[in-house]
Amino acid sequence: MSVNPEPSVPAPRALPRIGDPAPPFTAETTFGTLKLEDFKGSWLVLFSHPADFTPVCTTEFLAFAEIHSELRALNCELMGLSIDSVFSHIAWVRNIEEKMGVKIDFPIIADLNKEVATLYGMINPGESKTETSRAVFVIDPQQVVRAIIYYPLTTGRNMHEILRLVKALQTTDAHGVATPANWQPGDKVILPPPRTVEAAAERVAQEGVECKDWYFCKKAL
Amino acid sequence: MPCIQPDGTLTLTAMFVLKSLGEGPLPPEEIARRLGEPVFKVRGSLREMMGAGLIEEAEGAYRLTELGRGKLK
Repeated sequence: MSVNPEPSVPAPRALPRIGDPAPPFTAETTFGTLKLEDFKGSWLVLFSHPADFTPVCTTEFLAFAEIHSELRALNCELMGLSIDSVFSHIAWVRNIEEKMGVKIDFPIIADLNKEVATLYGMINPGESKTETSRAVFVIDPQQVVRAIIYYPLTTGRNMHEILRLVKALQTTDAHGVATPANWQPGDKVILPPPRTVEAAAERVAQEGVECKDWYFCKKAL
Repeated sequence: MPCIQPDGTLTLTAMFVLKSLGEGPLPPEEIARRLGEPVFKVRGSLREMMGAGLIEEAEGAYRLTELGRGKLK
């Protein structure tokens, strides 16, 4: 009996997920050609917006510019992306500076061929086939994807949440802890639950730790 | 951070980088510190300048080529 091989069908491209290496790319940006690897050693908030010269995106750029220096202080860079030309990006950031007095001091990828947007799954065809959704990828200094946020075209993102997310991830890395709902820097953090009966007994007896029960303990940093 | 204009002239940033490297080889982190710019921008610039044959890289540090040294004159 002969076995017919399956017709060759290109494997669907796997989108990056939390914990995956961030897909490498080389892109034309408002700061010249940049590679993802240029950001090695610092955190990166890579975000997409639907289009230049649109009102919600303009409010977002003003808000991103507002948190930019705070992100920088956290060793975190910012980079935008949309399916627009670099000339459109330049005209838009100049317009923002001229009309609103805010300098956009971070690079924006001109992803006309949708290469990076496709690589990162930033286009949701059910919503729009020609625009990127409001995606956010938080990438760590080792270039691993640590968090992903998607917002629809109609809803501007909350920059305080993006800032909080970066701070929470850095706190987790620095102290080996988790952060509870609505955590803010300075709040108590959550200890990882014990994984043995012995460790559970030790945890509830541990000093400086506030436990609701053995699996739910917080401490101040 | 583009360093070479379409007409082939160097930007002020590129000239600053060349002058800094005129003092000896430097890693991108030190160039970024001297420029007061983030490292990712400097890495992009160095790649462009390397492509133009102005500088070369050895063991993580960058140094001028003869062509780059000539631009300083």
